[in-house]
Amino acid sequence: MQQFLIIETRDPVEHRDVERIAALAAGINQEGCNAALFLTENAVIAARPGVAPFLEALAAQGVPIGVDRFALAERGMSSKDMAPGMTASGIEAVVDALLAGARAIWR
Amino acid sequence: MKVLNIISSAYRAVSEEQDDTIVWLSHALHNAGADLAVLLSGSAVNYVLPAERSSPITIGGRAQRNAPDAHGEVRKLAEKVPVFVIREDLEMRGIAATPDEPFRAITRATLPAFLLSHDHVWHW
Amino acid sequence: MDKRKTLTFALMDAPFESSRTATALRIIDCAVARGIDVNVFAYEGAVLLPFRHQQPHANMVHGRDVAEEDHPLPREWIAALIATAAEHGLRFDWVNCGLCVDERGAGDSIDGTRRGTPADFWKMASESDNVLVVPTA
Repeated sequence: MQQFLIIETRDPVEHRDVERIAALAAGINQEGCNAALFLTENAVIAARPGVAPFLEALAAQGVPIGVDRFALAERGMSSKDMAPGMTASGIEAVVDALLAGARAIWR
Repeated sequence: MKVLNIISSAYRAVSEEQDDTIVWLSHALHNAGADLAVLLSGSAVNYVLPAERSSPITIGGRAQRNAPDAHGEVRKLAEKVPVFVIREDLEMRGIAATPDEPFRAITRATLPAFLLSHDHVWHW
Repeated sequence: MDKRKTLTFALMDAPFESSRTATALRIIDCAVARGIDVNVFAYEGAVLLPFRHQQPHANMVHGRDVAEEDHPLPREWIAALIATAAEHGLRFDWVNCGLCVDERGAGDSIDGTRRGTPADFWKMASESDNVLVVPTA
């Protein structure tokens, strides 16, 4: 099955477009492709419960949402601070996805 | 290998560069043999509007001779490769949802399938 | 034996302007550590990442001299990636877009990098297993 990785770096409170990116990921899944999100930089703020309900809904639909452990720690967060359904991971998750042939876009 | 270049940042350094650098890059990739399409999204949808070349700027008496023509260069690109634009991004910015030829509007609903129809999607 | 994989990256940000640079270099570092051949096409401000004349500095706010501050420079990170790749027999090809180099006066780039054009990026991309474009903000 085809894979699609969206690397999101933006704080969703500042950037309305992050919600549209979440909708894009859901749409890609509906097309029969495995979409996944990787949150890094200021986007990891969205991992806090209640900050980005659209991402929590996406995770509940089974879209994998990886969260950069390094960026979490940089912001005084850890995996314990994350909404359910999101997974803290290392940057190697991006390399893994690229090696698996995922189309990858960076936002 | 079908490639989609997505341009969402517009008028970025356009005066200094005398070009939109991703529109320029798209021309260069096409000239290098790339099977390329372009998608304008976000503020870049404004490029579909007919517009005159920018006014040249003068800083400290140093005048610019070749002011950028970002809108014209996008139109020229659209004569060589398919250039698409997101309809909802036009509407949100008060622009008619059906752009003139040669641009082609697509909707956000069709965006997933559209992205998947390309081997590579490069967001610049 | 499986053919070694190749990844191509396009970077755009100038040094010290955006966290994207560090994130991108972390990804590239991981790729090299995984034994992957890497191509980098540096476009626009990114052509300054391997600029030879970057210098470290002291940090008087923190009371650290140059040695104590030990400020890592992007050119050092890139040199280290080039060296690590070479040690492991990997290909690491860093290409600076020539026109971007000219307009920024960035011609004096560290050893192991080279000047090129968008045609080089297209060739790299066509011959790679995958490509990641890291846009500027």
